Amino acid sequence: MDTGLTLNHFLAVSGILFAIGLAGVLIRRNIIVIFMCLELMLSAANLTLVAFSRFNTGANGAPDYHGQVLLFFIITVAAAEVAVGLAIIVALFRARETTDVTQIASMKN
Amino acid sequence: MTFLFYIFAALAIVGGIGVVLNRNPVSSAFAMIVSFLGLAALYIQLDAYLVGTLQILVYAGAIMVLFLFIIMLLDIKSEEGRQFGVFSTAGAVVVAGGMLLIVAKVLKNFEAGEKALTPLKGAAAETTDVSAIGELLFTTYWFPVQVIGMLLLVATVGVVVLSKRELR
Amino acid sequence: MPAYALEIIVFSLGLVLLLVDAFAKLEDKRSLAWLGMLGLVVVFGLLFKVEPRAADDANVFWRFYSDSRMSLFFKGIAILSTILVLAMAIDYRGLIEKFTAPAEKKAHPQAGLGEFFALPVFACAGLMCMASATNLVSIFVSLEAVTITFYVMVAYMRRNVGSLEAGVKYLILGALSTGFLVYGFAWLYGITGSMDLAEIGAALKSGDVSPTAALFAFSLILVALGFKVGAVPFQMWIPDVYQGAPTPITAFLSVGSKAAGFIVLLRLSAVFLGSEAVAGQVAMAFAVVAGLTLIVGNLTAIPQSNFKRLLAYSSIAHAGFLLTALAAAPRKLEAGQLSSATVVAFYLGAYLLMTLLAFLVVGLVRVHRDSEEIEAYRGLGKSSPFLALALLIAMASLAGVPLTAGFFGKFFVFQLAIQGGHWWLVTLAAIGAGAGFYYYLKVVAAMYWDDPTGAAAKAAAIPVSALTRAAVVTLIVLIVIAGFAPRMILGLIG
Repeated sequence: MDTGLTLNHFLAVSGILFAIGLAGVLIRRNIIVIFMCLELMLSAANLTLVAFSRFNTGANGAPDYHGQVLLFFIITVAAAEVAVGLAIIVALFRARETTDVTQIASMKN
Repeated sequence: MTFLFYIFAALAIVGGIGVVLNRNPVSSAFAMIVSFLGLAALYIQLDAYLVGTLQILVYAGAIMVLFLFIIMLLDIKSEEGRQFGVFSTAGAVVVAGGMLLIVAKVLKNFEAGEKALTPLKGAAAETTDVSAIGELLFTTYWFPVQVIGMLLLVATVGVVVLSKRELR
Repeated sequence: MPAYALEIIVFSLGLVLLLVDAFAKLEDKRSLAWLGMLGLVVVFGLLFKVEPRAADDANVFWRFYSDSRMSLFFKGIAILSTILVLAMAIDYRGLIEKFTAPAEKKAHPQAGLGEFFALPVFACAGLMCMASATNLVSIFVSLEAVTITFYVMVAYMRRNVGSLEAGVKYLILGALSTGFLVYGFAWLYGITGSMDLAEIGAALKSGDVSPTAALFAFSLILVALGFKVGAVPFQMWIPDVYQGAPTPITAFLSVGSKAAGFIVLLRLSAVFLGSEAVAGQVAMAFAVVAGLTLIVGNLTAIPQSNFKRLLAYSSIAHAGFLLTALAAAPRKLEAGQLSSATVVAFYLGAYLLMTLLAFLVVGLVRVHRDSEEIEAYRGLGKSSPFLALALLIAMASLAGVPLTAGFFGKFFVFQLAIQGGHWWLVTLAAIGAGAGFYYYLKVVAAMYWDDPTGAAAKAAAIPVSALTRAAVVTLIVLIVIAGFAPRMILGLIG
């Protein structure tokens, strides 16, 4: 059965999502939304990993699971990063009452 | 199959655009969940069932709920005034557009990428990815698992330290 | 003792510190820092007792971990900087207490201090794992373990807006860098089919890999690690984060995190430079980034009036010199020639000594003069001659005055670039080094001559604890030894 789908289809979706996330990081002013866009970039990269893992088949034609193991670690790290990141953002919000990055300029000389 | 791919890819991308364009952080968070569901479906199309499930459980479930919780806790309102600055928009368009052009060029020259997606056959279809990944994690990858353990410990300690009760 | 035992000991030490802090009800939490330093000194000694991997040891572990001399040297850098950071943290504890003390009246005033001494130890364990990582997975997890620890430590003073803002900036840029790193690793894994650096290198060498895709993966990784080491144009977070973070953490960030970034960059660049198809472009990319970093780092340092910011720009400038060494990596090593890995390791060792010496003084001045501006250093030559002398030596070494460790660091970089015929990089590095003399000596001038009224000289002397005095003396001695006999350090690198 030919599905007409190739590895490049998946890589293209991943590239587009990565670029969207990057654009979001650059335009948005709300730290929480910026942080979400960063998670979007990470997920986009994960799609590349899964796609390659499916197409780099091993000896018996099964997917190469090493790629998916790395993804396992990435998801764990992302969860830890979000927890720590949100704790820092909440602490800053309590101290400053803002989540707007343009307000974070008190250090500029 | 092909038809489903386009639906879910569109879901992931539209969700992504929704995160960037929505003024209200809550809407952004929901758009993000849509995007993650699309991605999870793509993973399952790639025969990565465990990872697809994890994507929904951990990303769409735990991480996004945490985001929503914090947005509600801090009571963040929609952004007011002009949404995007001229310079930052121009910069973002240039950087993201450049990134897209580079990806397009790389994919055009990437012959290995022409490989077609064919259903798994024989022994490959028999192996379940849960057992394969589980076995790799606790045999070959035991060392990174230990380091991840330390990372989680430090993250826990860090979150506790940063969010102790505040002076009033 | 095998090399990995060291990581186990350091990690256990961190656990012990946390447990003692939680259950022992210490009156004075400084003893935690003492315990940490004592443990790390022992581990530093054990570094010389490491036995190489047994030839018949086929554990799959060794695909993730290298116990080469180079890795051990970088582990040494990590341990030494952690010891000094803990020493600095003891002097700095007053400010940490001020910004973290709990709200309850009867609570222990040092309640927020215990973790501040434990977290650097965990960061050290992560840095040591990173120094040995030879697999994309182990590189990723150890890098992230270090980065997440640093997020917490930078934002540690949770009632100080500056520290929190620095924490948020570091968080956003760090997460951005992680995104690029993961995307780059995904591509690298995809085109070579392996997570192991040796196998990836072989696959790239064989020429079966699309060069465009390989270069794409390289650029993504270069962007990610550029953020970590502070290469231009990814350096914008450095001055703000360095200024806002607690001073001991700034010192740790500028030494430990930079050294770890460079060892990963060294390992990965060796993989790409081994492939004929992409080596030319990869070296070119390094040269461009190195040139930009040298110019921007050195020239933007000149007008700075805040000493911590000055050191931040100086750290960018030094990244420029280190990248120059990478860009000038010789394709084929001739007899007696130093490899660029050796030069980078030596430079980082020297950079560790002089930067930590400078930060020791900065931390003390911040605590006792309540300022980080260069003006606060006026008359220090008269009021605290010992600290002024230490800072003089640190600045001379950072600028690259002969007979200091910094001189040979720069000398080897120039040697490598000249042998490789990279004349425009040599020119930029010379301009950068010249600018360095100006802005480093500006501080020296403030300490010794810039005191027209003589009032600053009458300020009270800054008290220096015995521990700090010992640390300062050790660093000065090491800087001078490395300045007289660089071969000794080179011998350690192997």
